[in-house]
Amino acid sequence: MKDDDKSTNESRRNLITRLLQEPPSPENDSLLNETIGDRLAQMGVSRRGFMQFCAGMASMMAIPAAMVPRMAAAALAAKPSVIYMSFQECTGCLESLVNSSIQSSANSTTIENLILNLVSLDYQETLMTSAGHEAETIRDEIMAANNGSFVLIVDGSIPKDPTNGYFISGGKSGVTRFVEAANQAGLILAVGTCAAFGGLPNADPNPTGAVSIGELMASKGINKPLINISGCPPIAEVITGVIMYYLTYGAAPALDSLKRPRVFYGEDIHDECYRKDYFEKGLFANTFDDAGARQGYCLLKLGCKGPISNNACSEVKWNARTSFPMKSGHGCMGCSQPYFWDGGVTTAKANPVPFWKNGPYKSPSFYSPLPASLVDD
Amino acid sequence: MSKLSQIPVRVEQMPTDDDVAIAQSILFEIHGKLQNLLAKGEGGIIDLRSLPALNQASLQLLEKWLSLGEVSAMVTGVGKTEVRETAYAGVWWLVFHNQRGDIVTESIQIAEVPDILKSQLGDIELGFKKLTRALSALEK
Repeated sequence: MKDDDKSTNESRRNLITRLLQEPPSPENDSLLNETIGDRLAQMGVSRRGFMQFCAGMASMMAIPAAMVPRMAAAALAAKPSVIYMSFQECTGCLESLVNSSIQSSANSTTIENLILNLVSLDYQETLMTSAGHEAETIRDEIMAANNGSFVLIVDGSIPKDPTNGYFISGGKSGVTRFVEAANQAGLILAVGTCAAFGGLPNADPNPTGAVSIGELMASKGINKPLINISGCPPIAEVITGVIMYYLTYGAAPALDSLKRPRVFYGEDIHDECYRKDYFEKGLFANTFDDAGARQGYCLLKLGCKGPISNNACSEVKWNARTSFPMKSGHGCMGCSQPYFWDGGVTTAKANPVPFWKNGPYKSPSFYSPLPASLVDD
Repeated sequence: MSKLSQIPVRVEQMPTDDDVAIAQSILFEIHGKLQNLLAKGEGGIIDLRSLPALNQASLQLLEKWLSLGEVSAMVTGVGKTEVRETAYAGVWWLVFHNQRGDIVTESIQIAEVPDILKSQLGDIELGFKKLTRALSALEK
């Protein structure tokens, strides 16, 4: 064989190897659509791999297993546009979201990327590379192109008075920025207790006049579907689970009286707590270092707010299902309830009443025990 | 000769009457879905983690009753998924793990082939495009 032939064969072999092995990307494959399935393929995650992810997600959300193929198909075909706007917040909610770990491990970044691609964050000030006028222009273009259909995720509360000088971004007040986006959104997710109920910025004396997203929408006559995903921060899998549900069914899941998804907020934390057996036997820790605490007794007397707090901490847990506060020896702080911080937590009934207005505590601390009247069983 | 520590040990819990009844009720459900598969071509899935009454003892009992069939497969996509055909053709036991190895969920699928084993159309299309591109590059 001549040297020229050898060289040609080698280059052909190298070309085929490269073409077959390189992952698809918009640059090398013009037929890729911008669906989630194609985005995942670019990351080396197959559609079958995504079905594995959906099986875990469906089980967590109590979605019938027979729905998994439909769930995967709907999500893979979707081209959801998501705008994530932050107001008076600490970025903890976003930190939680990007650490969603239904399938991930400490050493893996695949699924964190998957989640970010799943929700297709077209605008998020902390994560996007664009800034300033360029970022604002991108947001305006995305909102115009997806008018009435994009998902608006909001974290943080907003000063109700747009003229008081608090929270100005891009030359606009928080109210103006939110109303512009909300009027064009298809669904609004208030992520975190600040957005859902006012949270820390709303705590007394509330210097900025901060209100929740729901209250602001009501005052501005914005009648769009709203889902509150409360928590400080919310559990990552809860955020992504709600988005998955929306992609699958095209509608919000069933909500409780505080507009939170029942599937995650339907039970109080106490009901699912592994320390409940001790509660029922009347065995309580009285200090954080007594013999009872060391044996895992109920933390009610140390201020645990589990009996009046609704969240999925006891079931879904945190940090790749590793633990949750009570398992780590600390009571629930009621972070997913209205009036978290200065008002403690509420009764979470149809008309929540903060302790500081109605209860025996004028200034309940996180470590004040709940009154017996608020502990059902 | 194996050392004692090398012999795998599995702790089996003695099933109570309730455990037997629960496992038995799932057998009835599987039977019904198999009948449906034969009659209409529609099987179904039972998410074992969504059955609150199904504890470890009844799960072990069910696994023992269904036993192992001819086929087993491992899907290595997002975490690993074990797929085993049981001794009853068309009844598949699936165990979904996350990337850390924890079990995310377990289910029983009644089907000719479980969905998780089938190649997905979108992936087939993508593979076809890659091959087409490579072959057309050869012709140039």
